[in-house]
Amino acid sequence: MELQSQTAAEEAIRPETATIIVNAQPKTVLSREVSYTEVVNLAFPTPPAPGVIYTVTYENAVKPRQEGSLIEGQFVTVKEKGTSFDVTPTNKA
Amino acid sequence: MSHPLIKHSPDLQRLRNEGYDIEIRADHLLVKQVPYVTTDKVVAHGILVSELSTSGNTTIMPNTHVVSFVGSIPCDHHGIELDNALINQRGAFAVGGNLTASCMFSRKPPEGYPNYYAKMTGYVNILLGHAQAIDSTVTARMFPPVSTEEDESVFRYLDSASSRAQISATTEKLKVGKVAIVGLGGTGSYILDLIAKTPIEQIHLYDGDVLYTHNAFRAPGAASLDELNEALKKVEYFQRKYDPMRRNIIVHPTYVDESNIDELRDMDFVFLAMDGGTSKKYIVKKLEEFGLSFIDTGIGVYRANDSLGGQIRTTTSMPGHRQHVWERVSFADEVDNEYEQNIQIAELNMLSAVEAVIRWKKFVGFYADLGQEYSSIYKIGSNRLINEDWNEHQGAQAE
Repeated sequence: MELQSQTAAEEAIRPETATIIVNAQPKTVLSREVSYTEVVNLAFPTPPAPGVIYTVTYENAVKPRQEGSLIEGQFVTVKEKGTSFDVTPTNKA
Repeated sequence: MSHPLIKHSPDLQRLRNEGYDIEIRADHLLVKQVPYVTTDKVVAHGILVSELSTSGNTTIMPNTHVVSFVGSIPCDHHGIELDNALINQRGAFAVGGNLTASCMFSRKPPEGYPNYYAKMTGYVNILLGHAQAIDSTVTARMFPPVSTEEDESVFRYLDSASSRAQISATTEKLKVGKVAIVGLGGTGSYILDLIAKTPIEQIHLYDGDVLYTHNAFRAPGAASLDELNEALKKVEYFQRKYDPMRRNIIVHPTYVDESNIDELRDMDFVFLAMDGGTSKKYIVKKLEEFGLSFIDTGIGVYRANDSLGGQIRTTTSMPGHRQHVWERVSFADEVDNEYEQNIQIAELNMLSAVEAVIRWKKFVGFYADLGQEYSSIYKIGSNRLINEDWNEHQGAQAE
């Protein structure tokens, strides 16, 4: 059962693995605090080009903010299972 | 043609608003496409012609109750000519410039006709009654398009409802002077499809590309084989497509760079619908320098087994709200293979354009902007729209 009263800081002291979905593929992370950079690396192990900025959005994360987006330097607290991410350069028109 | 008399005369306006096909020709009032019955008991269409009494720019009370009729002698639904009750003179005579009437009608109400609406609809309804006995669907209220003069409207035609109403205060907000669309690919072409129908005074199109076959699958409408064989520049193709509806689509068959960036200086708004990269970075920097507001659109597609997933990004930039653009928009010159290889994604371009145009309409106050978000991201897989960078928090948001 999730402990919803825990703060993000307390979570970071006790890392737990989690299964997240990144671009429809399941991935394992070793900590429940997942960063923009970590998600990007999971989606694009080989960066398509230097200096790409990604659009990273998530759903089904831990409250209070269960859905949103990440920019570089930001983190989100994921659930043990089921938090999903979309990661794309979002550059075409 | 929209004659000034029609604009300034309530009775003529009412005829137009109700869909009658009216025209002022050689100082006479014509009502065209009037159904009537011929001696063969079929429905035909004729023209009522009336003198026009005016004072300055408006009509006054008609000075005769008589009208001329262009068409064969009208009958009742048994095919019997409408003598006595209606027709008071026969013979061919010239009217209204270049027409030939076959007869005149005279039916006078006790105090005469107070205005041209009463006069003309009075006669229409007499003929119409008999015509509808043969075909109940006929009408004289055809709501024909009203062609416009250049100084009248940016649109080449108006529907009669628009020509009547003063443009509402809300719609007035869309009447900005100059808007540019940079990039007429999938998203840009759908943006044009939408904003061409608004009363923006001038729409400037920038794109150096030729319209190739695969572009046709991501554009509004349906290009023909002949059109594709012409190998037009995209901006020329789209100007040609939308010109029949509205004036002032100005083409720039070139990319935006140092040589022409200054042309954007006095735009009221700019839509960026181009692939990301260093050229876009330059444009964004200059738009910020010019103090312009703009919306940047982007699509990203990935393959997940045999299906596609992805996101659509709409990023709005205004003076005082610039920072998030540099955190969200990629200026790297990378290639999105899934986007390139999949042309069956026009709806993504369309949705991207819709998001951008709605956002622009909020910018000018046409739609109420309750959310005041500067970034929005649509997630295809979960059908979800995520809004970020609201008015009160600018810059990076802490979790």
